[in-house]
Amino acid sequence: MRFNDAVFGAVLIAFAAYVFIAASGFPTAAGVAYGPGFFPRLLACLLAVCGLGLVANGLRGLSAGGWVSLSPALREPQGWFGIAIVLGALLGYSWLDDVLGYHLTATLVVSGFMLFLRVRPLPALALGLAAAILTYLVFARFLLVPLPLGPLTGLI
Amino acid sequence: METILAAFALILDPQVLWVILASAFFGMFVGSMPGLSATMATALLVPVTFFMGPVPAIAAIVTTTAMAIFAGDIPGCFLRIPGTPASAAYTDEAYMMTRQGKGEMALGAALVFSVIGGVFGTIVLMSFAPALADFALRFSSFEYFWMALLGLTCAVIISPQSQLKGIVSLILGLMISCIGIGVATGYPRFTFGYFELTGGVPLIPALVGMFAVSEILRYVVAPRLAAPPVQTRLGNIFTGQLGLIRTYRKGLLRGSVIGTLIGAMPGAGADIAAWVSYATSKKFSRQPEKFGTGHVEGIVEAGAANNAALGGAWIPALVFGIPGDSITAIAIGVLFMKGVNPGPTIFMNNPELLYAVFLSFILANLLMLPVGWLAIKSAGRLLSVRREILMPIILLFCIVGAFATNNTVFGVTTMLVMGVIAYLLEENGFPVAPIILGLVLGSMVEENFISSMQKADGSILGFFSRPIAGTLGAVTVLIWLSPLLLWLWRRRRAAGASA
Repeated sequence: MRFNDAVFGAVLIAFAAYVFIAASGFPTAAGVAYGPGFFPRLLACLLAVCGLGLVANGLRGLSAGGWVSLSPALREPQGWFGIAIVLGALLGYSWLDDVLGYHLTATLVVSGFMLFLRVRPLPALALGLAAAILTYLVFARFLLVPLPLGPLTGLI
Repeated sequence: METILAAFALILDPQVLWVILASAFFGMFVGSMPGLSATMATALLVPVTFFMGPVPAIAAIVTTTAMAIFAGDIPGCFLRIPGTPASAAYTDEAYMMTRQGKGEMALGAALVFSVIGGVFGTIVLMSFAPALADFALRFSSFEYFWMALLGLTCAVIISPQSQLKGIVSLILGLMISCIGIGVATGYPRFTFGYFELTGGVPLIPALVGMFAVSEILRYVVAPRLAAPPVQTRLGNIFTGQLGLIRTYRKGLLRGSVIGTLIGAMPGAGADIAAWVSYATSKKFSRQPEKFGTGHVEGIVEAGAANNAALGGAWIPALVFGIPGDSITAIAIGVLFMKGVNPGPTIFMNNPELLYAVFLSFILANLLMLPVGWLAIKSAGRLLSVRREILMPIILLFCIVGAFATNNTVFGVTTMLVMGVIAYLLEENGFPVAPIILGLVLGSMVEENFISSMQKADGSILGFFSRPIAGTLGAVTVLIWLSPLLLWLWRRRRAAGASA
């Protein structure tokens, strides 16, 4: 997804303004010339200048490209669905791993993603389960990462 | 001498040797997968290095990257798709050679000259780093500030697309480094009430997000093409390589030198080294007309250059703590996490660690011959690994890696956010490498900037008051002004021509 530079520039200027205002609120200890807000404010000013440059660039090239241009894959629902699958897998993992446990969540993430990529259901399920078990062995047993067990607590 | 023996003891530890061997295969695999870069291999490796001591951790990174940079040549030869960006410069040439039935010579040259270039870069690193460190011991906050700024400036100048966008990436990286308790002041900044952010944005999830999750996102929106059938039957790849060394010894030397130098420049890495030396090879060749028609000379020179660049990149990383490319930026982050601060004092405090890094470089390069040979032999199977099976597994690996660094799902969320940001930025022509440099160097820049400002009482002139600082500062400012100066010069010349 390509935005016109002016869109990016404007967002960056707004972001810089936010950083500047937020950093101005940081307390500076008495007798210290340069407090915690000094460096972020300096960066915000630089970023705003760059943002202006991008706006200027973008407005110059506006007639050629328009405000937003989508890559070919994103003109079809498939591409958006793909992005949703990846983001959903990551968010879903964050929400579900405590409830369902690592094995089940990991299998869901891997098999679900594979099914979306048109791997046949049985291999997708088998590979998902194998990946979940293998990563569990490496990270939980070998590297001692406390991956949540969920319903399997006490069983393995 | 004692140091070197101690370093040998560190590196010959069975655990370290296993780590090196495993990393070698991992690097070969990731490097030979088109679309998976050496940087991604490093980022995926970092969560595992989190659980290792400093020596195996660094050895793993060194080995993986060396292997991945060579392995990138394999799909280049067979499929005309560079496995990593560092192979892109001569992919067409290598593919042409394969089409003409000279595939074994192309891959053999890629392997043999990668090893030679890699060893050359390491020797330069070993011989120059300690002397430079001696020099760097005289640095104060002023010099460090300019050094870091010079490094960041180079990173932006070299960014392939727009320099303005490179600067934006860099500032964003520096801003991200501001999150958490400030270095000098102890005040929690931009934590949005998240306790997890008081220590700053966790580096490992950020890296994995920026280099792996963004790659997965790019994959799901890219049109999926069926892999073309691969003809991978080759003769002995080592036949005739000695002859090539003799014929192209000058090019080999030139490629190794250029590679090391470019690698040592902050911001420029193996891919730029390969492009530049492929171009110089053509320029100085006796048969420039043969380039692009399946001629091995460019592969010799550029293949050596991209591996030499890896050693070169470690020079500024170890001596000044300023990374030469995004891979060493990651490595510096790893060293910091291990409580080892790269910089000149490391040469006094941990010389054995340093020599262990050097030794692991040599070991990795020597190991490249057998492992690389194996990878070429099994190229048919390697290249037929289906992407739709690989990508979900990589995603799972990312999740566990991000989780493992502090055992909370906060890491997973951080990775997600950084992945989406990196994807959007890259889609719009903003380079990602400056973000990582800014993120890793941010606290050093801020600390040295603030303490220099205090010493100089807020006067900018103070930054130029010491001889080394003054020189570094002048060079940096000159680079900043160079576009303006160039423009003025062109205008004057144009005015002179019309008059």
